[in-house]
Amino acid sequence: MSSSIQSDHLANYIKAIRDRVGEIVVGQDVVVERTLIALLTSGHLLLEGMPGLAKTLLVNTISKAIHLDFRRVQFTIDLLPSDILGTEMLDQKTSKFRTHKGPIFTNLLLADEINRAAPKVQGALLEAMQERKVTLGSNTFSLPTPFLVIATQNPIEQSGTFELPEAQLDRFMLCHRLGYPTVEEEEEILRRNLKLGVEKKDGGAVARTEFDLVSDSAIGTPEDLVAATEAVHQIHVSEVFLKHVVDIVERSRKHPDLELGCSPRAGISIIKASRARALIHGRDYAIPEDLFALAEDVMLHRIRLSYEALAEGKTPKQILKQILDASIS
Amino acid sequence: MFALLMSVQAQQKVETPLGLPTTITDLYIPGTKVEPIPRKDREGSLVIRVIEIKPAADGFRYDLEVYGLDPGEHILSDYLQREDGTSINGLDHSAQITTQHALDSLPKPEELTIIPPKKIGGYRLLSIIVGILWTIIFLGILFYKKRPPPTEAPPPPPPTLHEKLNTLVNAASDGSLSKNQQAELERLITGHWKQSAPELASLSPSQAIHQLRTHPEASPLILKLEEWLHAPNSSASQADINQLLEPFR
Repeated sequence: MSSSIQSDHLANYIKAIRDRVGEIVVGQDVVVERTLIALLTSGHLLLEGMPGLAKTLLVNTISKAIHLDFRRVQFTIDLLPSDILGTEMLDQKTSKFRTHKGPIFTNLLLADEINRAAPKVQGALLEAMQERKVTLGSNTFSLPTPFLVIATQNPIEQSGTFELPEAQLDRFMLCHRLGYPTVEEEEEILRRNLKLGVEKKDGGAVARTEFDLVSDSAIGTPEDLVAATEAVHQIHVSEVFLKHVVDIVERSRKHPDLELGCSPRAGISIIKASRARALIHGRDYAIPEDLFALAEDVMLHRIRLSYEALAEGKTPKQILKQILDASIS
Repeated sequence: MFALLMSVQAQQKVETPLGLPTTITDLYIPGTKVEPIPRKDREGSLVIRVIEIKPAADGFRYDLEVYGLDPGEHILSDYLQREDGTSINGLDHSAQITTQHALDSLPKPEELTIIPPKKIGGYRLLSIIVGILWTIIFLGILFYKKRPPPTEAPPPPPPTLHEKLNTLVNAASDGSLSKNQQAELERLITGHWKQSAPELASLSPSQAIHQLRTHPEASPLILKLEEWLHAPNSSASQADINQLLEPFR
């Protein structure tokens, strides 16, 4: 531990969370790290990946490990804004309107397949994410603290979906692309699944799932999470680090193949996320490794290729690689 | 006088449409009364009906109604006879009835005149001329001697990684590096090691930096640089950095 700011207690707290998730979910250490970064920096996280990569299990495990309230909403085409935000209902007994708060009033909201909902639902959610407030009727309610939205979308199946526009994608601090596990991780997943067994309940029996393994006991206290969040803001960011960030953001705006480069919000997100990553890795200052490790998750969903680059078959990932390679050569 | 009268009457050539009645009034015929020759078949071209007979000096004046059944000119006396059945002698043969077919009264269509077309040809000649012109213009464009661009000195090649590093390292030894130059120096050193170590060449910058932080040769400099440039309370001195940067001079 190189820092005098971060106590051993805080380091143990973060390590314990990662270990707890590792007991349930195999091989998603980077996603756990990104989720913690989003949580500690009050950002939001968009996960892109195929179904069956344990996204829901991961978020569920993290929420229980940190003792956070967790809700999951499956986005569909017929979902309404009131299904997420809540609504005012007429109570027939009292003849008065009663506020029914929607699932957004939670600490950790998993918005599953966010691109399946109509734009007005996406807009309502993203507005609440930005303002951390919801207005129902004439009353405005603050969302619980901490509040984190983890949205998922399937990158392949595009029929019947509404692609999030760049302006709304920009509100997600990180967009992480989940990959398939390695061969060793896949074997471990299968081994663990074989050991799940059967649960007898109410005179019947049912095959156990990974969700049954998630422990309800929380690690640490809410104060630990508050302390970790505060500690992120104590992480030192040097002038030289700022120069690195500005250089990369600037390169994205000047690249000939990009129609849309990174916004200033991207630079802010890189610094916020780098601070949280430094804390997670036990440092009290951000270093270029943080920047380069987070560049894809922060920048890739914020850039848009030009028509000519698309026609030439280039991909945003290739262009970002060019930008990062050019910055060190 | 009689002959003159007949002549006048006869010269009034009566024209009648085919099948329609025409009335002839006051036709003077000298002698006894005359009557139309009865039609015994369908050969006759005129049908004559006596409307009125008026006595005159040596004969009678007749009002007749005449139907022309065949187109053409018909002599009136051929269809009349005396009451005693004798033919009329001395009646001027020029007293005629002209019967016209209805179609004859209609305007005739214009006669078609055949105008021979102009001589067809010349296309082949025109094609050949256009082809020759096209070839000449094409060859002209192809072999037109463009003026060579004014010879300019080729732009100096961009400095290599080593040259850039050398400049920054020298500035670092003087302690005159700006923050931008410090950032560039740190990135270029990463790039230098990424190029130098074959196992790092294919890695992304993120992975390369991660590897370099534990690399036996690169890690002392990388970690020292990190501490020097990023740590809030750096213990690295200028002399330490100069010593580590010595291989890049």
